[in-house]
Amino acid sequence: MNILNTTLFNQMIVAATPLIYTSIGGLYSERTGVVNIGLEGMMLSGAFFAVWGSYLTGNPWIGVLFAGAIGAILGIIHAFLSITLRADQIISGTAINIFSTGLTGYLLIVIFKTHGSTRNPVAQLPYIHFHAIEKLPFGKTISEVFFNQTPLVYLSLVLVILTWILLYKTPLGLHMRAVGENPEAADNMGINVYRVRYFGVIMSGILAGIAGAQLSIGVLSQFVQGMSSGRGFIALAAMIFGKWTPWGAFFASLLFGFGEALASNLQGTSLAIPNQFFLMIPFILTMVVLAGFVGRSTPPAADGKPYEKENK
Amino acid sequence: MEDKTYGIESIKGFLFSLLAVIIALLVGVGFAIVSGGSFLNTLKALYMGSFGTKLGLAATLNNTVPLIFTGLAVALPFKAGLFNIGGAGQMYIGAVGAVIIGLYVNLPPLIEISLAFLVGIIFGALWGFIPGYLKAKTGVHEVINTIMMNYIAIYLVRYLVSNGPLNGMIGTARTKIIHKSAQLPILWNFPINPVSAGILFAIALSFIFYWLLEYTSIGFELKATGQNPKAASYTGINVNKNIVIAMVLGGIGAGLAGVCFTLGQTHFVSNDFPVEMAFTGIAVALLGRNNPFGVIPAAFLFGALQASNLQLQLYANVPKDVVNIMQGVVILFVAMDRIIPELLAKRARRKKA
Repeated sequence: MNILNTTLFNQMIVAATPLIYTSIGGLYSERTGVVNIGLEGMMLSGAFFAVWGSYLTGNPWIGVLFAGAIGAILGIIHAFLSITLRADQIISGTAINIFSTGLTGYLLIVIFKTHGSTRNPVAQLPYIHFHAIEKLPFGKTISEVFFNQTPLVYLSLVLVILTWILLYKTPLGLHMRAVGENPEAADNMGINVYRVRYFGVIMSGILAGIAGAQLSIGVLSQFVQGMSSGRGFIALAAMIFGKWTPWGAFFASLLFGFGEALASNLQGTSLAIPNQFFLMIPFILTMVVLAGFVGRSTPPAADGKPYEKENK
Repeated sequence: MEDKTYGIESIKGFLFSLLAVIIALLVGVGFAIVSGGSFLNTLKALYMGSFGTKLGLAATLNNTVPLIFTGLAVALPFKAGLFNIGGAGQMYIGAVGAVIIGLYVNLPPLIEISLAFLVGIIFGALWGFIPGYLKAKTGVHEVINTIMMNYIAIYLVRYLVSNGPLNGMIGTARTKIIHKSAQLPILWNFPINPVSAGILFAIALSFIFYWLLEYTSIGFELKATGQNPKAASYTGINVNKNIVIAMVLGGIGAGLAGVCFTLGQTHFVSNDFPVEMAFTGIAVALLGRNNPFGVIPAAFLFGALQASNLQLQLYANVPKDVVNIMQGVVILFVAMDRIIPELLAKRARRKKA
């Protein structure tokens, strides 16, 4: 039996995509100094609203728009609480997670009159094939691994590149990093700390929402209750494992996606290693890296600390 | 003088919690009405499902027990300035500790139960110790590590009970039923929802944590660490030691939730253990102002809300998820509590000027 086949790598990409969006989202928030553990709830809400948008209009892209919008709204709530009101960011994020569980379960019953999951499939995001490539040498392999995915999968790579450019090559990126490292100094330089942080947190909500859309109308064509099932936290782990950098988060997401694909492939095989151990890997790796056993990973200096503008 | 302000602060805190509950209830009823339930029917279902019937009351009490423990598991570390979001893992692993004794050891009830408690406590404590130690040693935020430890515990236990050594029957994902001698005595033998002695242990732990915080030097140091770690270390308090102690105590609290839930209610551990109770524990602790006694009514309230799930859905035609929405609102509201008075004071100052 050969596990390392093209299907496995194809599944790795499928599993990694929501992690890429969400870990990059987390990066936007944390590089500006706001911890966002509400990503899990934002992703779950995005998954529901994507199905709803697609159901209402028959157009899956409206679903993606809905997903981004609910992510943005939850992002605004988190931003308002943690930036304007300087509330505890962990508490605010926890509230968003619990609230999202309630909201999606509630709307499932009110809108779709059903429990557990939506029944009739809604319009799904298109899958892209490139038949021409199969004629090239190794074309079939390449096509099996990389193609036959939704556009959101390819756009995730664009997102990583754009985020890298934004963060390191533009004034806004410089402001983001300054605000995340030393908000006092940034403020003295004339940067609007609050505005930059709002931008970061709202971006994280939008991206986590889109990740939810990929889960519900990309991979599937329905919403299942609790379908984010911890991916928001795995994405958080990927961001940390990737040392708060876009490419780091990207490769960590791929690695964790590989673990997930491997675990689901091993289920039902007679291999000696139980699949649950593969599912544990992202979490153990993150703890090990954070502890500094393998290349230290340190958060932005002002991460998690509310900023209060001094009265002048 | 100091006592007096403390008294006023706690009255203020109580009023604020009460306000949070009222607002959450109003939001919940609002959502219920939007979904087609009527105002009166919703209130009636909430009441009948939680206190109005014996069945409801038994369910409420059974929900309250783990919530007191998970609430304490958050409240105590909070006093030391730590956020223990790892209750889910600590609880699950604590349940495993208890179930191992209940399955494989056969002793007279008193000894077997004590042993099950001890092992459950050690397992829970270990799951709190690791993030506490890592925070003290390397400065890594406990929130990240407790989240990671939650998932490690969840997958570890799932392995143990489904394809691992604790599996009770091939094809299922649960352990066998524990020995009679490991089951907690029943206090109120109500059919469907018998209420076990777990509730006594929950209340006892509230007393112990309160005593620890208010009457011992350990509690004094924990609180000093929470209020101002720098000042605490100047006065000779070992901040790192206290971080570890607080997390271990938190782990013990959550571990006991799993122990009492397993020995007193389910009598086995399965794949779908209600780890959400740990997250409700966060709401419980916040609503109870992180006071070990405040946790009890807060746990009772959330226990009652969850008990009325079924009634809401069956008789008032209201989605049970309204209860989760209310929980979220309570937490959001409490998250603002330190800030609202501050903002009001600022506004008042501005008016004066």
